[in-house]
Amino acid sequence: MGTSPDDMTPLERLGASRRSFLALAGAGAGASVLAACAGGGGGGDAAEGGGSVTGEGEVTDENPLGVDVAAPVVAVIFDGGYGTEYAEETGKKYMEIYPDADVQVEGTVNIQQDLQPQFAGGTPPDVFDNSGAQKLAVDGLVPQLADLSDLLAAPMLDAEGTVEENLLPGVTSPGMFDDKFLGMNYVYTVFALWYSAAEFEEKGWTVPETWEDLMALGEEVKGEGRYLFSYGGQNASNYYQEMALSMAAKLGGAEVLTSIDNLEEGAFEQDAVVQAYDAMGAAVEAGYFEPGGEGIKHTDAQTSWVSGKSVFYPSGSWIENEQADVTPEGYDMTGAPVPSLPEGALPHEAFHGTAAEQYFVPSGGENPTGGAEFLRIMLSKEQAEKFAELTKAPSVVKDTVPEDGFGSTALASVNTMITAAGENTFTYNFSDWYGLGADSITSWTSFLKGDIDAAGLREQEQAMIDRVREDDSITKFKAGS
Amino acid sequence: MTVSGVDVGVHEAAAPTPVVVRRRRRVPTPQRMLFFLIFLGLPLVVYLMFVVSPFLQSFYYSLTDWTGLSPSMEFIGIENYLRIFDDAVFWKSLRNNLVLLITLPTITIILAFALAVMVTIGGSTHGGVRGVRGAGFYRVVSFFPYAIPAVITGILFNFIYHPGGGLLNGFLNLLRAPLNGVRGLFGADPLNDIGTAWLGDQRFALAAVGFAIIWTFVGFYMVLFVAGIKSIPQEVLEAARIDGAGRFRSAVQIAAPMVRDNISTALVYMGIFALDAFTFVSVMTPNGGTDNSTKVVSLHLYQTAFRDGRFGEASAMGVIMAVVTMLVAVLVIGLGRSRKDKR
Repeated sequence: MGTSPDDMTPLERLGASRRSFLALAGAGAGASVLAACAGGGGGGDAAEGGGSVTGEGEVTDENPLGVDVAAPVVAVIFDGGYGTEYAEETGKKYMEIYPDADVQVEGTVNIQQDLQPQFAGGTPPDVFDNSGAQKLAVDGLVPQLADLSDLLAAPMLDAEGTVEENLLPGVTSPGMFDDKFLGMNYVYTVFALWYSAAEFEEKGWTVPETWEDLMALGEEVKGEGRYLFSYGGQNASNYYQEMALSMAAKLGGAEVLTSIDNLEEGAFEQDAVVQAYDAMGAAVEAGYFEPGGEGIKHTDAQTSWVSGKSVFYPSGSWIENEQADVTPEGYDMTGAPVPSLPEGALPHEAFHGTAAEQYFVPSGGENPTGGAEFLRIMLSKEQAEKFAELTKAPSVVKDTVPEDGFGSTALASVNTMITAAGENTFTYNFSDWYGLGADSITSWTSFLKGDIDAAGLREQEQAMIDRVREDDSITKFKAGS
Repeated sequence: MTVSGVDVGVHEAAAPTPVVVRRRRRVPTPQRMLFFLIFLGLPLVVYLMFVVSPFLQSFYYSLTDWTGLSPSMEFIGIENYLRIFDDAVFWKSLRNNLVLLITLPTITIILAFALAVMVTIGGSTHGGVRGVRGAGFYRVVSFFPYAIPAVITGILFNFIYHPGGGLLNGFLNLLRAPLNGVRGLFGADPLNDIGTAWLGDQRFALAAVGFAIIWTFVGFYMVLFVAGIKSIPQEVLEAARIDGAGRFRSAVQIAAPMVRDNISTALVYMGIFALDAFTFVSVMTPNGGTDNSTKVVSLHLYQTAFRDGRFGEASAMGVIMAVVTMLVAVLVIGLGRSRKDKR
C-alpha cells in the first residue's frame, strides 16, 4: 500500500518507533498482545516483566552479570542499513571470552514475523534488535522484557567505569519505561545541517555559524542561480521544523523544547521560538528555498540537494548512508550545528541528538543474562569502534570514532560535533509522542511554499498542540524528567 | 427458489395442489444436500465470516476508544462521530472525495465510451459497420495502463509532475519559446520558465491526481463498453445508418441506450473508486498535499488509525464512508432503473 513504512522518511520511522514504545505508559502493563488477536478481549493475566538480568552464575569482576559461562546465547539482529556484521563480531568476542558458550547471531529483515511465534511459543531469543519496518509493536512486549539497569551499572569490558558512564548523554531516555530501563538504544543520531565540504573549500566559503552569516551566504548562492535549501513538501517539510526548533533551543535553552513537549499554552509564543521561526520566515521570503518543493518528496529534494541545486539540508546522521547512491564522488558530505541566533543560552556547538536501534532482552528467554552480557560486549569500546568502522555511524558509546571517521567525512564531522558539544545536547518528543508529524508537515509545507508567514505557522502549531492538550482521550507524557 | 425443495416447511400450508405438495415434500437426496452445502452454505459461511462480521466488528469499534494497540477498549458511544463532525480535515477530505466522485466517473466514462465507439462503429461509412483502422491494436494498447499496478502509475506520474525535471513542465517550456516569440512581436514581456509544482499547488493538485486515475481506468472501461457495443445486433446499427444516422448519432442514440447497464455498472465502480482513491493519493501526495488539498477520507482514516493510534475514530470514519458509498450505489442504480421503467 501507498503509505507503507517503505514510504516513510527516516525521521518518521524514528518517530514511529519512539511513539509505539511510549504509547505504553498509558496502556499500562497489558496482557500479551502477541498472543491475543487484534482487539480481542482484554485479559489481565500479564506476567510481570522487568525482572533483573543478573544471573545465577558467580559474580566476579570479569563476569559482573553472573552469566553462566557455558550457556548458549541466541541473538536476532535486524539486517537493515547497518547490516549484521557488527553483531557477528560481538558474537565472536563473546565466544572468545566464554569459550564454552555457543553464540548464534541470526540476521533477519522481518523481526516481527520471525519473533512473534517465538514469543507466543515461549521461546524468545536472548537478545534482539527491534528495528525496521517489520518490528514488533512494543506494546505487549514490555511485560516480557528484562530490566537492563544492571547492565548500565556493570563495569565496562575494556574501559574504566560503568557502562552508563561511558554512554553519550541522553541516550538511555528512549529506553526508559515506567522507571525501568528496558531498551538499550545502540546507534547515536545527530541532527545537523549537511553540506558539501568540497564545495565550501573550493569556493572559499566558511560554514555560517550565525543566522546572519547564513543569510549573507544565501545572497551569494542566489547570485549563482542556486538556493540555500531544498525541501520535500509532500512528506518531509518537518525536517525544517526540526531545524527551527533546534535553533530555538540553542537560543533559549533546552527548556524551550520541554515547554513544547509538555504542550504548554503559548509554547510557540516563547521568544526563542518566535525568533527562530521569524528567521526561517526571512529565508523563505528572500527566496532561499528551492521553489517547487511543495510538489516533491524528500527523496527528490535530497537528490536535488546533492546534485547541487541547493547548498544545505537539515537532517539526521543517517543522511550519508541514505544518499550514498546519488551523492556525487568527492562531495564530502559534512554536518555542522544549525546556525545560532544572537545571544543564545547554549553555545553554538549544541545540537539535537538522540539514540535509535533498540535492543531488548526478553525475560522469558533461555539465557537473559547471556543476552545482557552480549550487549555489554557490544557496548565495549572495541566493539563500538568496530560498529562505527563497519557502518560509518556512531554508536552510543563515547569516544569510539577516530578523527578521520574511517574515511567518512560525515562520520568524522558527527564525531567532532559530539566531542565539541559535550553535555550540550537536547531533544524533543512531542511530534513522536502525539503523532503530530503529519500535521506539522501540512503546516510547514504551507509555510515554506509562502502561503502563510512565520506568525501564521506558529499559530497553527500552537493550535495543534492545544488540540492535543485539550483532548482527554489522548494519553499525555511528561517531559523534562 | 420455491421449487428447490429446501424450504419445505415454509410453503407447506399454502400449497394449492396435491401435485405441488408432493414435489415440495420430497426429502432432498444426500447429493442435493451436499450440493447446497458446498455451493450455498460454504460461500455463505465464508462471506459471513470475512465480510459481514468485520463490518459489524468495525461498527462496534467505532463506538469504542480502541487504540489499535491495547488489548482492551472502552465503550464511548457516539463520541467518535462527534469528534469527526468537528474535524475540519475530515470535511475537507470528504469534499475532495465528492469532487472526485462527480468528476472521475463522468470524464472517465465519457472518454471510455467515445474510444469504444471509435474502435467499434467509428470506422468507414462504406460497407459494414466497423471500427477505425487498427481498432484491434488500439483496443489492446489502451488496456495497458490498467495492467500497471497503481503504485507504479503513481510513481510515474510523480516524475511527470516534478516541478524541476518533470515531463509536463518540460513540455510546457518547449511551447514557451515560440509563444514568447509571438509575444515579443507585440511587445509583451516574455513568460517566465514554468516550474509549477503540480502536486504541491492547491489549485492543480487534486486535478493532477485525478488525471492519473482517469489515465489508468479509461482503457479498462473502454474494453467493457466495446464488449457491450459488440453485443448490439449489427442489423440495428446498419438500419440506423441506412435511415441516415451519422456516427455521432448512432453512438449517442443507438449504442449508448443499448449499453446502459454497462454504463450504470461503470458508474457504480468508478464512483466507489472515487470514494476510495487511497493508493493514488497516498503514493502521489503521501501527506495529502499542501494544506490537505488532495487528502481523501481513506488517507485521513489511515493516518488516524496507524499514525495517531485511534482505531475507534478511524472505524467511525469507515462506517461513515460505507454509508456514503452505499448511498451512491443506490442512487446510481436507482436512477438507472427508474429511467428504464419509464420506457
